[in-house]
Amino acid sequence: MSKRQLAMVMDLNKCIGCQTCTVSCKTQWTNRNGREYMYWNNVETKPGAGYPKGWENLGGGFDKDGNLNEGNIPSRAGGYGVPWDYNHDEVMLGATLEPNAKPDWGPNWEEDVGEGDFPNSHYFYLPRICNHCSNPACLAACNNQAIFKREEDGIVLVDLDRCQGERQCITACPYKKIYFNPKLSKSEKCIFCFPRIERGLPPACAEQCVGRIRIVGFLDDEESKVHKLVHKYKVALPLHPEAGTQPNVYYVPPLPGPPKLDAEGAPIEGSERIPLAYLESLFGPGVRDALDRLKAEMERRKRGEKSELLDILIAYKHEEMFEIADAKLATQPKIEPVMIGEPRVYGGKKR
Amino acid sequence: MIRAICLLAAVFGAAPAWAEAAPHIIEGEFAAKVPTEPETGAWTKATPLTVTLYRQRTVRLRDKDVNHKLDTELGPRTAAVKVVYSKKQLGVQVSWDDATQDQLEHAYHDAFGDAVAIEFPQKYGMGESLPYVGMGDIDHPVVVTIQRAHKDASHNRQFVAAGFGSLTAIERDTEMKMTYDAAAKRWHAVFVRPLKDHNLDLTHGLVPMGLAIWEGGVHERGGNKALAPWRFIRLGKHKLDPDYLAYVSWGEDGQPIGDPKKGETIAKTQCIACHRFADQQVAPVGIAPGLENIGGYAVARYLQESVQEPSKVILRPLNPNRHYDKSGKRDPHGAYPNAVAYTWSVPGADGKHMSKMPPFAHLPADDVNNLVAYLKTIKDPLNTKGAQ
Repeated sequence: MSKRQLAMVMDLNKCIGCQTCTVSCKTQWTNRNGREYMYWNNVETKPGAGYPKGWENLGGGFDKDGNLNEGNIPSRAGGYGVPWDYNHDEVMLGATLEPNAKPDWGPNWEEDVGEGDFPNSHYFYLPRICNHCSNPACLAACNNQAIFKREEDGIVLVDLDRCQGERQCITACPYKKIYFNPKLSKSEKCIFCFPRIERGLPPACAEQCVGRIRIVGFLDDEESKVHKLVHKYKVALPLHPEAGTQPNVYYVPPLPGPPKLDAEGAPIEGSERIPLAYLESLFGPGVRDALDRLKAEMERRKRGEKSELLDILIAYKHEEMFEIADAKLATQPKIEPVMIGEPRVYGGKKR
Repeated sequence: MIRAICLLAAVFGAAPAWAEAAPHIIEGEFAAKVPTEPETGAWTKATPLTVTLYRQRTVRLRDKDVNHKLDTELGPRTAAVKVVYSKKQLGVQVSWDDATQDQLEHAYHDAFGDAVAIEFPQKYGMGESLPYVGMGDIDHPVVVTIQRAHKDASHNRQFVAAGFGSLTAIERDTEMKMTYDAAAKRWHAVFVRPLKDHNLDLTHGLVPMGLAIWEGGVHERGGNKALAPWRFIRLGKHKLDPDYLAYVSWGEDGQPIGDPKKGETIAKTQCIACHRFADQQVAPVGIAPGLENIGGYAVARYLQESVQEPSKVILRPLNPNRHYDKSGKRDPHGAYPNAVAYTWSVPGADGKHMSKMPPFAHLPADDVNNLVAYLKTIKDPLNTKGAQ
């Protein structure tokens, strides 16, 4: 669909769940004008219902034959959670800290809950942005052809002049990463910080990432780190590839963690703290090979041998994680507007 | 209405029985001023035409939460339409019963508002086909004016469109007001626009008008709406082209045009390979417009021309990205190409679009008439199986 494709790889083994990416995105794009409830970038704890709540069960994407599926629109209160505030001013005068609403769900409600009982509990963090898919379901669902994919970099954007607020895109996105702005009555989403990209800067979430988990580059550039991680080493995998949208955000899956402990506190050899089957349900059948490769490269490195893969993932220099120097200023989308012509009344000879 | 009857009598010699109601003609009331407040001034003198609107189902919502509601809860709706015009302006008042006032005033997210739209073809008159009533078609742009039940008037918008997916905003030239009569549980919507400007020339004796209503309570939006077939505004102060009147009046309610039974046989043998009917669903979904309730919103003349000369009126396909071709060659980024079966036209040698439907010009006139008579009987509003 596009000539070039930007991609992001996130190394989940390095994510510490600090939400700096979330905050950098929020302060840059979504703290105003009807976007207050939106998190174009969020970090959720997995296993867990995530944000919006239960998004993995809300339909969308394409079926196995390539036909667009139906889906649901998450509800505001139960799905995203209504933003609330605290009475901080009054607390200074002796009042008890109270929220100004009775929230029962929010974007990071289940932080660090995960699954399993101590000492065999487990969780990991999953940061999520728009996947800027190669076959975007949101784009396919729009009756007004208001969503387009940029030729120059594959970034998927909403043309707000054409958007009519029908929210078909929200039903269609299997990741529920497109949001309805009730103030503007239009859909909005992660824009991969395209105004920054066009100036050679990485997306804010990636630049601010203290864990250095995010690698950004052109997937079609065979020398790029994202290309190597995705295609050469095959350690970076798409999220829910079965949704059929060909996402362009990739994840290095988390290593299974330390072995589980038995009743006496002794490690159980060969046990899976994070079950492989769960990781495969998120990242597809490539997980086992990806983890095996990672472990093998780590062993190599322990032996003092070179490992290009680990050098990329360690990310010695933050700025080298971003290979977007040849990003271009994008032209206008190729959605042909209907031009108004001259009004004409035909016939009427007998008028 | 009396004027309409006289007029038809003048054209055809004597008023035929079917013309008594003239259910496709809205008689315009001439006045010095077109009021923007509903049911005031000249509106009280204008004769309403009762218009039935049927669910348009060409586009099925992707919304799992509400599809079942749309499938079962809403039948056809009726609206009372009045037209008042002055030397410079044309006003349309649409009134319809609605038990729920779905007005969007506060932060909402999974709620939708009631809405109403009128539509005029940019080109019309004898020698020009009527556009597809849904939103125009490739060669027939329409001007669509929509008002939404929202406290913020900026949600009232005006567009030019030439088929599905082509709605393009233009500068508004229409005053709009939507008022809910809570006691009567009834909406009144008034549109007042210039009779003639750079978008439209409505200074004609007979002006086609489209009409659509959305019920926000069941999440209708976009292509999911109740749609009336082309109705025609008679403006007595402007000259009438009797040929055009005869052209658009063909097959209107009450006027027999053929034998629907015979027509059904033709439809069920020659059309079903591509088009789906409520009771005949062999065609794959989406390869041609579904005909489940086509008779509800298509006029007979449009159907006749579409059978005989499909390339006269070509619908843009619905968003072609809805179906991709898994056997096709993927691009370097893994994207599959769109499945071509779901486009409804191909570029011809001269670059103009050609309908994929072969012309049925070879059908004898009687067969075409019978077929159209049958299609006009299909108004099942609750069947959606053919929509894609």
